[in-house]
Amino acid sequence: MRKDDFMKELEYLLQDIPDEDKADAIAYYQDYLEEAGPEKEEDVIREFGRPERIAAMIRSDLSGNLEEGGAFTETGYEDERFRDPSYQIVKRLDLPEAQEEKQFGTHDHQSDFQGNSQTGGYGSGHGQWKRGSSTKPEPDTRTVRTGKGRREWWQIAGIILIVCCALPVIIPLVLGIGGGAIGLAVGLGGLIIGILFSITIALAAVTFALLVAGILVIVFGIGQMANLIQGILYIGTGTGVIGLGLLCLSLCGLYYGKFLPWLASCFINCISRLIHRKEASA
Amino acid sequence: MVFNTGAALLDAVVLAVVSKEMDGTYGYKITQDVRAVIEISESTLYPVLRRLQKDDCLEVYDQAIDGRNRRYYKITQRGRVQLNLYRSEWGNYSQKISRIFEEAMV
Repeated sequence: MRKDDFMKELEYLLQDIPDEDKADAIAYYQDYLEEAGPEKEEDVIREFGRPERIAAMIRSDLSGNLEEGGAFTETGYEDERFRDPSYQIVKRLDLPEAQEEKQFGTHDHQSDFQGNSQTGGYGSGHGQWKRGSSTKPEPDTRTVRTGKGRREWWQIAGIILIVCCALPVIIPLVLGIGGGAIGLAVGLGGLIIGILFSITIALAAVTFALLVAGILVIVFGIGQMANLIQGILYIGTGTGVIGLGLLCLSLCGLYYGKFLPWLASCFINCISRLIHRKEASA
Repeated sequence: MVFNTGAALLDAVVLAVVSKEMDGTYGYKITQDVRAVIEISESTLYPVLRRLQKDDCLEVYDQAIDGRNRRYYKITQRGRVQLNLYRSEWGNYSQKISRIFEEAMV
């Protein structure tokens, strides 16, 4: 567990104790880890055990059992703790979690410790710790405060290192994606220009062909007026074809007169906007 | 270590360590100094220091070091009285224990 994570969790676990006590404890452990330095930080945190354990120790201190100091008696200044030589603070502060880790190595101490906590008059204090360690909150309901996390230099160095390592991958990737996008855009542009170009040619050709064909058919119909019905049929067909031709002519008017100039102005606008933006940002 | 360290002995050692520094000393250094003598975990001393502080055996002051506050602990007059008591008690106690070991048949 990292220092910042540890401190954040400890702060969270201590949020219900008085502000002054909390600030004092947080400052102490923060200071301690900073004093230990980045190299020893991990070892120290490992020896601290879980933040719940530290929080339980701080709580037990506040609960009053540890605060009973000495008193003046007929035999001089005496401390209650002094009269009970079997009262073991070192082992007493080792919570079940820490004991489990040491179970095989210090079995004798452990049984010793348990006996003392039952007979030594500090049982309630022991119970306090147990309660403290068993009421640890669910991790997923936690609200982790993010505002207070300070980045240390090694974290920043780590981020820079990661970015540096990733650059050889990122640059070709960006270039590749960019190149692909440009190719696609050029291709699409080409397609659109091609379609527009063929429409431009075809519309003119079709209009011209329809008008010419219509006139030819009418002329041919007039020539066939010997057979009246056939002649009228040809003239009618020719008129119809000329009508279609005129329709195409009006479409031509719209296409060449309105659409193409509009497209051209759009294109010019786009280009000029791009140029202006570059100028503005430059 | 085979022998456990009692609360009183731990208090006495901490007071002795702090008393050596006239200008006071700080949590991490106290812990390392105590660890040089007896086995304690890195986390043990906070409650001890806090209790000694509440008992007026130690006083604290903050000093800015490298852009942050370092809390210094200094022994008080009352702390010295207490340390003196511990020292004489320990003298008697260790003497008796030593004597019984010397007399023992190994």
